[in-house]
Amino acid sequence: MTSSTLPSMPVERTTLFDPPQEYTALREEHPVTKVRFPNGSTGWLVSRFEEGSEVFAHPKMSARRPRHDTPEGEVAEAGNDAPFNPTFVMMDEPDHSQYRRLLSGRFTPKSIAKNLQPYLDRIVDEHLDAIEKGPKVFDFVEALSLPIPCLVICELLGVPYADRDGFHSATEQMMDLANSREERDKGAHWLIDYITRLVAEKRRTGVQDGILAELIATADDEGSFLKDDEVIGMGVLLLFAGHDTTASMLGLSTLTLLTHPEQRRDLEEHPEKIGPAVEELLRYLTIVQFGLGRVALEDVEIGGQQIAAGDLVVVAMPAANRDPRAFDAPDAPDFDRKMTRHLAFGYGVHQCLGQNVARAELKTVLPRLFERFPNLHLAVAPEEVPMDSLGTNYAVKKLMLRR
Amino acid sequence: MKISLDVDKCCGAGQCVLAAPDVFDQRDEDGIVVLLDENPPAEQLGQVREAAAVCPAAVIEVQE
Repeated sequence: MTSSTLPSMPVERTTLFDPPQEYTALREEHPVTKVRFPNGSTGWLVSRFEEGSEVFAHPKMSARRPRHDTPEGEVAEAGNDAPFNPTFVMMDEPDHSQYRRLLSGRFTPKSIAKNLQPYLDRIVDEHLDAIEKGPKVFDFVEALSLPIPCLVICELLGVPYADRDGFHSATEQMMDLANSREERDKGAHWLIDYITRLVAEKRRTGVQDGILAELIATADDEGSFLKDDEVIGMGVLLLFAGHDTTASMLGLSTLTLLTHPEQRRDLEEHPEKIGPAVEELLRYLTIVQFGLGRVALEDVEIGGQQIAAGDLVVVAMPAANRDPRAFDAPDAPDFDRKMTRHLAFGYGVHQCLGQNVARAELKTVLPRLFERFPNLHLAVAPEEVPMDSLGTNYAVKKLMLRR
Repeated sequence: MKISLDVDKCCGAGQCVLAAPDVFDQRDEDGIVVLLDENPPAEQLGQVREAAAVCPAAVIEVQE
């Protein structure tokens, strides 16, 4: 079959919170199926939960993969998609662990509770105070859902918050899949140049103020495996991935609660449910809207399909997280759901490094927001909320609320 | 109940600590799993099983 006769990967949403509706039939009839991806490359699309988990956990599925979600015609080789060195994100074992373990100690629930939570409590309260003192109608993205994750990643990495406008707009330029490769690379180069200057400055002053300084110290150890372009690559990666994703989840979660009065009341009356509520919002919203790819290193069988060595396999996590085999009534958010795990952060050894930071931010912001502003509601109709449907992460562009 | 860990595979996601905080911990320096109790009491079985199921790297094995 040539690529032109293959079905296309579904990308267009018809409702606010659900993945493209073609997935409902695909998941039932062709859960592992050959498709044409948005950029014209071809490979397998996996839309069920167990099969998706199997792909992520499979030792013969390599994380060194080409992009599938870039604009038409932009097919690049694995590892040649970004101008920065993505290090562990594109590595397999044992290299992956060697690099990831340089960072994982800073992202444990214990480390976050001790080192980040007091700061998070303070900045969330300050931003809620500012909303209370400001106009009745305000943009939630500008007032809270963007600044909080920016402040948090700045604090963790040791990046000056004053530079947030620069790194956020560079991130947007890089992540917007409506942009050409050239335009996206401009955003990436801005981030590379920025982190390169910051690394040089930290080396000069010897300041010890977060993860970036720790990586520099590791790289400067005699005989260290860690190279300078890898320190810069990890810095770039943490800076954009650390703020854009959580900003998206904070905005979309708030929109979900404002349009689901039953769930909102449930959380207001039972603040102790915030843990399960956050997991359910992560599952329900699954913001990595075009899924994540892997490449088969040898012939493997997934869901009864023979996948050949070299084939690209994309797990559509938004569809897999709505698989009725794994979740009862999957298309409705339910904070009483009994759920062991979901695929919003991926699965396998590459599962999101920052997941516990994202959880801490969501668990801190959501209950306090609705406690502080019990009359909070949308200032526009839900269908008028401008959505970012083309970004790597599904998001609200702007969220006008009345307090 | 007997728990064994394949520590080399651990990616430090911390899911086990959230599921069964009395049985699992993580090393400060790199987040690698630490077993606090090799033979936890039977009433912990549910939590330990959940920790094994939620672990993204399939590090935890539980024998009942």
